[in-house]
Amino acid sequence: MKQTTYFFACVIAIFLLSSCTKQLVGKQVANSATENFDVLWKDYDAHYGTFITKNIDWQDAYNHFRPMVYDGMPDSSLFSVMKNLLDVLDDNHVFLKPLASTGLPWYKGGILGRVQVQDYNKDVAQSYLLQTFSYGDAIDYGILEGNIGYISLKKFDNDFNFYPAAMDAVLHTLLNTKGIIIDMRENDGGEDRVSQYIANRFAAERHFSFSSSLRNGPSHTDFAAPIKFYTEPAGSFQYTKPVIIINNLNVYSAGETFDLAMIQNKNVRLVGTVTGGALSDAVERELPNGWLYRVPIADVRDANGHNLEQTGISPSVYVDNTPADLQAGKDKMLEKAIELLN
Amino acid sequence: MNRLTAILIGLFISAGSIGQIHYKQSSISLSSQVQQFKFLDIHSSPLLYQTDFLPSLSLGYHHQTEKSFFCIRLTGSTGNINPERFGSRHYASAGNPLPDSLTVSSAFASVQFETAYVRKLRHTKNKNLSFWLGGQVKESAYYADEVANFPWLMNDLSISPFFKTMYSKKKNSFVVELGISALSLVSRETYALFPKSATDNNVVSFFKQGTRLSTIQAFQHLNFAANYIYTLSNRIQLGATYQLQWLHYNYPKRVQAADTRMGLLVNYIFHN
Repeated sequence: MKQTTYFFACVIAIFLLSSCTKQLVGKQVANSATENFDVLWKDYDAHYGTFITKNIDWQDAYNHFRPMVYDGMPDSSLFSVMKNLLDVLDDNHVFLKPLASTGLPWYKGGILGRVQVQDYNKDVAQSYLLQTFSYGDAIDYGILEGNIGYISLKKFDNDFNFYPAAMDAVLHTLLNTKGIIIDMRENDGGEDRVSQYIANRFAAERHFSFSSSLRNGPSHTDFAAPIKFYTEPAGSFQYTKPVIIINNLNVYSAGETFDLAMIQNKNVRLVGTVTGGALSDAVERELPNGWLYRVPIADVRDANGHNLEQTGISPSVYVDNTPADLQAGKDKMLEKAIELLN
Repeated sequence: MNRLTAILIGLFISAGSIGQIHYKQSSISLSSQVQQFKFLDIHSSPLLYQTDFLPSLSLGYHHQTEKSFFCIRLTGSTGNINPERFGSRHYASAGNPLPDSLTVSSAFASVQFETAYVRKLRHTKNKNLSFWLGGQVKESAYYADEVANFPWLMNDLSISPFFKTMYSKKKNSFVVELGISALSLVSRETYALFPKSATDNNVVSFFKQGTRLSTIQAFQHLNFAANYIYTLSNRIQLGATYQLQWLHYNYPKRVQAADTRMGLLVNYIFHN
């Protein structure tokens, strides 16, 4: 009898355990307009890296927008309130992507969400090249008239191990040029470790280039110790002849930390326009309604300790293209860079 | 794996006499299971994620004497994991000058390596019933590549007290095992959710920055297993298995997970 009891007790225990696994992981947040708004606000409150440097009163934003949210409101109205809340941050990294089923557009924050950059045309830039090559999906390069090298660094978000071999191949091809133009106008970032490594391929000396402090607590002033990046010679060889970097407003995130790292090299000058002014790392997140959004999590400082969020990095030689220039097949930014190397 | 399966099938066919578990035996165990893994990690997402019913394979070695039992086991599975509320999700920007779209569907993988040693507690009046107590060392890793469109990993290396009870009668055995982590190295995302480093790659940095030594007060990993085993011959045992694991951790914020598996097992006894 005891044995039978033992057996059936075990069987019952198994069925009880099987039926309650959902309870074992806890209850997820309800998918209501108020919960979605609160999750969004709280997550930025807990993780956003530049409230202090931008002098943003996030609680005030909550007090202003929260009363506009009510359960049962249409997705389009909730999206509109969230968009207005995120506009307070004025940050190129911030986005909000509703599910396709809502039929709503994506929101992009910051100046790049408000302005369409029209001073670059890839075909026009490439028409100046005598020879054109590509390395994977991240780098286009070639030779310009006057024995000048050209590299378009399109992105820094491939696996790190992609870049040492890529830079070996690219710089080997351009080794005998008298200078190199690095075109950043397609670059919208990636990883700082990558941008720093590429900058190091042009370095002759070691210099502090920038630091990044990540949020590590709920207070807007809670940051971990700064992670310091240094420009220093790296890779099998370095290119230390003159280098001109072309920037425009499209360049942000690791594209900008690349600039901060490169300007530590004495052979480097920046031309073009100011960059986008969003240098932090950012992580993707999601709401109870399945919408995706992105939160910048760091306070990035240049070598002089300045935070350049919303400010961007200014060129030493300002030059910009108009749509008419590009339509006429002229890239004045590239022409200025060529002129400086000649 | 195929070679081992062929050997086991061959042994099924050639199995001769039927016998009971002897006082000293070793065996190799192969188990095919259906797994479902669920988690709610409020640091990573407000959504509850769950896998489909995934195929899971387990390979183990057991050695049992009259007074002790030792086992070592490797288990793995792969599949997909998505929010229970939505499944795979599609995003498309309506009305933008540059239309863009994105589908988020996360791949999933889990690997577990465990070893346990138990000693028989005492002889019960009922000769069919025995109790065993000892310890278990277990390494568990659960990985999803797109939780909130971002990689998610939870890893723990735990030392657990381990209890086992076995009821055997004739050719039938019923075994229940229970362990709960006492001391663990738990690896999770940091507060910032990104393992940034100037020198290390993201994987190394994840483990360097996100690993903490935790006692049972902070981290609990419960392991429960119930197996029914039928002795087909003196070489072969067949059985059914049910396993439940539950994880709970509060750093940086609460994560709870449940891993359930049910399946069939076969033991090949190669040394008596």
